[in-house]
Amino acid sequence: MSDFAPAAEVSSARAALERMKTNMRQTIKGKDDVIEQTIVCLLAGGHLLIEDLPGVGKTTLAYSLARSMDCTFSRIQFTSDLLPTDVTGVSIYDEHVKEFVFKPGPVFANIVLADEINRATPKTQSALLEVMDRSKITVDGEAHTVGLPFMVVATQNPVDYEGTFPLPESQMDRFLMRLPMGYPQADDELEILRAPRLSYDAIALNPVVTRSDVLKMQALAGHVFVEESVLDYVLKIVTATRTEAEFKAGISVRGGLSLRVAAQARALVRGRDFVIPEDVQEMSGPVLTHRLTLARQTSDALEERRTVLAALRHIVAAVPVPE
Amino acid sequence: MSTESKRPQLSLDELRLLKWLLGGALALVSLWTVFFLDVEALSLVSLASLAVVAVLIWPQLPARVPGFVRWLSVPALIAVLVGDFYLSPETLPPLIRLAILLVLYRGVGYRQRREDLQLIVLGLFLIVVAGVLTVALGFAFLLLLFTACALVFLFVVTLIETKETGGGTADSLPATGAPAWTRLGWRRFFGRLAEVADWRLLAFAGSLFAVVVVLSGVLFLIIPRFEIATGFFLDRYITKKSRTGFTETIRFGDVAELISDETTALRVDFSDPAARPGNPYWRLVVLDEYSREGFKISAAAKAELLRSQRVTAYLRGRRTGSRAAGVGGQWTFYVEPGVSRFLPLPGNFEMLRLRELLPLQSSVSRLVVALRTEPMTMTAYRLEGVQLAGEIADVPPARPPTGRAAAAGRSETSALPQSLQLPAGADNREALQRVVAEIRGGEDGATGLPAEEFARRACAWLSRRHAYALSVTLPSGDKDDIVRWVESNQPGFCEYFAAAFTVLARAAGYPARVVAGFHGGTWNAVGNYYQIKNSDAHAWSEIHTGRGTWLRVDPTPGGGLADSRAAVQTAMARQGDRSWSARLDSLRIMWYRRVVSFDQRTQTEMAEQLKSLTADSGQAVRAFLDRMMARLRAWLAGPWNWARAGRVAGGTVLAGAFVWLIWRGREEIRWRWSRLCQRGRVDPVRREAGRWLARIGHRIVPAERQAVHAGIVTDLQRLRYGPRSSWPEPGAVFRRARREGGAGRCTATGR
Repeated sequence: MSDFAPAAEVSSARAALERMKTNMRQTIKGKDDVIEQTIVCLLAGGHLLIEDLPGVGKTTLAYSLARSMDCTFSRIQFTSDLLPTDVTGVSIYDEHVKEFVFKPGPVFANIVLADEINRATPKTQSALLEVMDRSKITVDGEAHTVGLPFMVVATQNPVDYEGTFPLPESQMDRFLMRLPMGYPQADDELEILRAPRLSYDAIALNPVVTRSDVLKMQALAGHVFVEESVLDYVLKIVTATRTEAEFKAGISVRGGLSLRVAAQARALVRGRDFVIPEDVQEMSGPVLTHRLTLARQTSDALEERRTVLAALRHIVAAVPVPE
Repeated sequence: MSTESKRPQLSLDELRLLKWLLGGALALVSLWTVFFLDVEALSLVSLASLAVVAVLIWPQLPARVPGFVRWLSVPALIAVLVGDFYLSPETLPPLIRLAILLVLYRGVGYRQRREDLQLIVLGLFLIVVAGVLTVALGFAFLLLLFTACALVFLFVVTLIETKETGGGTADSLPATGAPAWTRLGWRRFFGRLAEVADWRLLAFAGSLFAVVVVLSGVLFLIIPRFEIATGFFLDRYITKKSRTGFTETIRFGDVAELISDETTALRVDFSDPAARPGNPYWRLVVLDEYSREGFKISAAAKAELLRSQRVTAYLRGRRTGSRAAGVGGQWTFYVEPGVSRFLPLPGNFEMLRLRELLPLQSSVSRLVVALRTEPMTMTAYRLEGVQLAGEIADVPPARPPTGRAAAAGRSETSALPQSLQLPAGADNREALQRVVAEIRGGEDGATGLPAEEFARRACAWLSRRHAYALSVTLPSGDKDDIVRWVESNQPGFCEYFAAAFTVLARAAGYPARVVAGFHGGTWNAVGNYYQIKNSDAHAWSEIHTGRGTWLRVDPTPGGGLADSRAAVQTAMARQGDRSWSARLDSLRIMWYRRVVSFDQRTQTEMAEQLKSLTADSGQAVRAFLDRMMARLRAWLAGPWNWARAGRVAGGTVLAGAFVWLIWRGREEIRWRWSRLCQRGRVDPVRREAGRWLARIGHRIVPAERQAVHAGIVTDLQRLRYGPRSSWPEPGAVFRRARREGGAGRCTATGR
């Protein structure tokens, strides 16, 4: 039964993921669910879009994720004058070797933090999105593979729209998940306030998982067993969104696939080698909401997020769980 | 219902206690029915009753029974059953003992819905067996009690189920410890029961039950006591007066028309179907008195019948001369009600046997047997030593009782005098004589022509002159009806032909009479019996041969004289009836054959046969087992050598390997089997696991049980959603889940 995840590997993966969680909890206080979902996104081999106000720990989250894993980390601050080559890298003529030499951009890292992605021009955005899709960069007809594992953690501010270029729907689809960060609880915030350090560079975390472990776990997540009725459940949720009048369009095929992959990864994070409907339910919010747009206008972006989430929850509750 | 009018209701636990009480009562009632049976189980019943009463009084008792007893009880039951069947020569007593044990087993343990229903079915089995084998008044009382108990019991079971689905906890049994409801206490429970009882409703329900019982009792009493055989088919009560069929008199109206009545009048069953007659005439009655209206039973015949009347269950017949050949076997007649009080007879017989004592009349001179009144129910009788003959003996009528006979001063020697009576009036006689002369064809003198020859010629003459038709219109005139018909060319039916022949024969000087009855019938090849319909009603004549016998003459076209060679004809030329209606009708004869018995002896014989059959089967099984054991012993005692030991070892290893393979692949086999049985549906293990998950998956459990609970839930989830290769043993998981469910319920309700 090599199709399925072996029990021993599952348990060792669970132990490794527990270590990661504990490690990240040292810097991200009171956000266990966000941490878990970030790890799920990593295992599913997807990219993450964190949407929230500045200063709630988005960067810290991405940084601690990278640090916990013995991986390279780079950060790109997106601005309106950022060029695609600033992201991908550029070929420069080298006097010594008498030819163009490719100077890799910041995207050549395992965890790439794309801060305020909606501030960049669409051209720059699409340069990044191409990398996200193919894990490759083509410069001057030469393909360069970015690091493996490769995960982009993009952030954007949903409220402040002044001078931004909102990501089009087709590009939103490239992100596996969109997560709101949210304010921490009072106790947790007090804990944060007590901490002496301010910048994320000061975060001192030891890697607890090797890069190869991560790659292995990503492969393992793909082998988590999904029973027929659970697949059917996913399909029913996806088709239900397509007939829901509230939405302009339903979930795409890629969206359904993403939901399955995310559910598999979550099952692995929870130490299971099979998916249960609860995985699907839990993942439907982060995986599906950013792929849905409302048919009607709303007062602001936060209002839209809330309405979409409520409609989706309604759908998920209405679809019967496989007996 | 508004809240203020809502009555106090029993809680779920109180309902469960009520169910316990009713179940115990049910078990007791069904156990006590065994007292009516003659089965060696009285001590067993007493013990079982004591046990049931004990657990009724102390409901916590079953929980104190050690676990291993419960584990052992099923194998012990099987062992007892096998042993009982082996040792007992009969089948029924072990079955009853088994039912008692099962009632005990179910009666003393905590039950869920399924077990409750099992208890009812087991009780019903005992009740039905006792009811079939014995019919006693006390038993009827127990039956009523059982019915009432079962009704309320089922009602409470339904109530509990409704409450459980409506938010209560499921009544799953705990692995150990008594359920919470056993701790309620009887005094408190009865207090609550009195508190919540809606006395008006109870009184209404009770009186409804009583009314139904009384009504059924009254119905039972007012329904006339016919035999069950006749009570079975409802069409027995439909009056047959409007239909045509057999009649006791023959009258000739101006217009007569026969309507074919296809209903069955008579069925005749043969103990030896090969000896069935080919062309039977079923005599009912002899009409020998002529009046202007037609033929009827003579006063002398009536007087003879009345004189001979006695209440009896059998009638000895009379053998005629050596010419009549007897037909073997017994002929059983089933005469439908409303046909006639006269019993159809195919000929002479040695013995007529009735099922019960009845007022029976008989006229030996006319060979007529009658009941006093026309029976309203099916009449069954049996003939032995039947003599099929075209001729029946002319015997003098039975002597009237001494004294009266002398007073009457009559000295009848035969039925002849009535058989020469002719239509009155010269013109009638002249007309008849003319015809007689024509028939005789010149040969003079009545003595010159034998009766047979005259009959043959008369039949031929009638056939030439008259056609057969069901509807007749007589020509007008002053002469008697029958004379007018003879002289005319009108067609007619059997009664006309028979009557015409009779008057012609009488005019020629031969004593003759009309006989009414049935002719022919259909051989039902499905049920192997004769089925005679009302439309087979017939009339024919008998002419005195002058040699002390009456010869049957059927003057209707197609009839003819009785052929002495054909008298014992037993083979049927035509095929029997195998149509669907025949199949349907054969069901009735099957029923008759089952329920109609002619004397106590046959019944006892049947019972004996049945008993010996069961005894034989038991003995056969025992003998078989003994034989097998002996062979095994002989085999074991045989000399041992290496080859033999090797063979045995090889066989053992092979068998072991086979069992091991089966055991290893049991899940796979089960899965394949279930896939084979239900394609495309959810795997049964997955479904069961899903059910348990839905029941206990989201339950909040106390902290100390959380780890266990989570483990069970994970296993259940794995069974439900996990890959099959990683499944734990499903049975064990479900057992744990059941225990967990029970424990959860206990903690939920035990507070």
